Amino acid sequence: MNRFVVWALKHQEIGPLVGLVALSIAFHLASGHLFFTSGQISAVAALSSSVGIVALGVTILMISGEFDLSVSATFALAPILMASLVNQAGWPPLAALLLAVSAVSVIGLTNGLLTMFTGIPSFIATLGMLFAIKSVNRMLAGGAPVELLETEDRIIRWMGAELPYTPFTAPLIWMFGFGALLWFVLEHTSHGNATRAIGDQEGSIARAMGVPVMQTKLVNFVVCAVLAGLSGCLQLADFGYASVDSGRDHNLMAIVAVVIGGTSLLGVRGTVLGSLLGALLLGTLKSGLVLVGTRGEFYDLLIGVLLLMAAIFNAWAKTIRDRSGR
Amino acid sequence: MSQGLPSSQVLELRGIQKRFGRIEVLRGIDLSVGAGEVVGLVGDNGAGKSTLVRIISGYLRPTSGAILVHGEKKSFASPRDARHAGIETVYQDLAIVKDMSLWRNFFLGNEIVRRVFPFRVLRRQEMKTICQQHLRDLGLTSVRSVDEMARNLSGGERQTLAITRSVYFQSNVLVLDEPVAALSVRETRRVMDEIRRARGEGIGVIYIDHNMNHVLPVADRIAVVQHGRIATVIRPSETTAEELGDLVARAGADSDEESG
Repeated sequence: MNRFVVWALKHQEIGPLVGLVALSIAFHLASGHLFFTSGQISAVAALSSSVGIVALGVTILMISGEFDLSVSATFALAPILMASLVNQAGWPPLAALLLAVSAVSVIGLTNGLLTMFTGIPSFIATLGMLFAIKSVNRMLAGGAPVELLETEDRIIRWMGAELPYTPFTAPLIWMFGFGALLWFVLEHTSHGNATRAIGDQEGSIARAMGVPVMQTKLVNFVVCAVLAGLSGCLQLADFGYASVDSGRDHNLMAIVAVVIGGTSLLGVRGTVLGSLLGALLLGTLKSGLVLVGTRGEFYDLLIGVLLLMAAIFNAWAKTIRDRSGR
Repeated sequence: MSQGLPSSQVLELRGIQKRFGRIEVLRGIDLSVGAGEVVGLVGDNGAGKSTLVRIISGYLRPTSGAILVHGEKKSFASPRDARHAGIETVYQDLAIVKDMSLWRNFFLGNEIVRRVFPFRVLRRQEMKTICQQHLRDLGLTSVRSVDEMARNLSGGERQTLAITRSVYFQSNVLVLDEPVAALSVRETRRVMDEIRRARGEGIGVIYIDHNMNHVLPVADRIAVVQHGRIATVIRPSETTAEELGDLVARAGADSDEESG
């Protein structure tokens, strides 16, 4: 087989990277050289980091063979809790953040326990959780956005401030920071090894090898929920408000980013870098389409096409790999 | 059979019984495996071999009876416990994760790590070197690097690697559940060689296979399982593949009659 094809199949991050570069250049040309400006780059960064951090958690969970559809509701719950505690109870932002993150980690744990002890697929367990938390969010926040009254606190600035001399805000740095940490965990720790192994054949090989399947999955469910909640809190610090509609589509968008990044829906295969590039690609697409003045409807259409292309490519790549393995 | 055994017995099963509701699948299995001994386990479908393997490897708890490893009574709540007690099980297609690299597979569940709180950080170079050494010993010349995905190995090579792994981890007992089903003659030979090597290292082996021609040359003793009991234990020198096949088929027919 062509050596380039083999190399490209091994490094599936190449796809979203090429797409990202091509799309950026296309938008730059189509908009009369307006894409590579600080305003646009700032918009791409904000959009991408919000989905990107959620996608990181979804990646590690999907590699271990599970899904979490409740991340969009978790994304809204954590900042609503944090803002309410700061505004109404007068909590220091750091304490409010810690409590919000603890609360969503319990949600992740519940998702994991539900999946493992009832034997229902995580897809359904977390779908049920999605509706439940949405309802809680509405009870807590009502219809109106919750504004964060304390914005000058050091923690809030650490979380969401604009970075001096750049068009970026802090959440982008957090995304790369979390990404680096997760990459380290996946590639360099025994938890990473276990995570990949339990994604294969519903964990039966891993179980036979004495890998703690349940513990590993539970940790990943919690990590996924915590990252979604943190992403929501970072956006709160950046935008200054949160609402029940914050991150409404983040559950599906995160899956799209992860699939575009080459993570297999069947587990085991997947990379952190791929998912981050997938998230950047989605951010670029969204802000680029607005920039060149297309109608909003096109965005969803293109997302759909992109997802299908990525999934078909991944399936094709798997067939090629299966055939080339003797 | 298992009474008053010398301590060189690596595994001893005493009166293992297993019930699923009202059905009694195992009715008191007594079996011992010595260090450096290969015990073949044969029997027709439904005789109870799989249940016995699942009990030995920690997937199931026996309803009654005892498992002793090196004379010490053990109780397994999970395959992890069994592995800690030095019992490695290699299943037909549950040995290796194909989309993981060779070295990660080799050390899966038993990684060499250093603790950097809260992580258990892999000692990658050390593990790669050890894995490389074992691959070389196995003569897996087609492998260019231990970073290659396991899917690049053939079925036989994957089984061989799984057996080598248990030798490296100095297991007491190696349970092989139809390890050569669906393998070519050449590949089967490779796996058999590896089983003999494991035996040479003092590991006790339980070898399960439907094909008597595979069991006979490698086993030191052969236990015939018949509706949940060990019906007889014979030495390969005392029988032929045909006789053994007849014995298993008769046992199967008897149990069909009984259950019918």
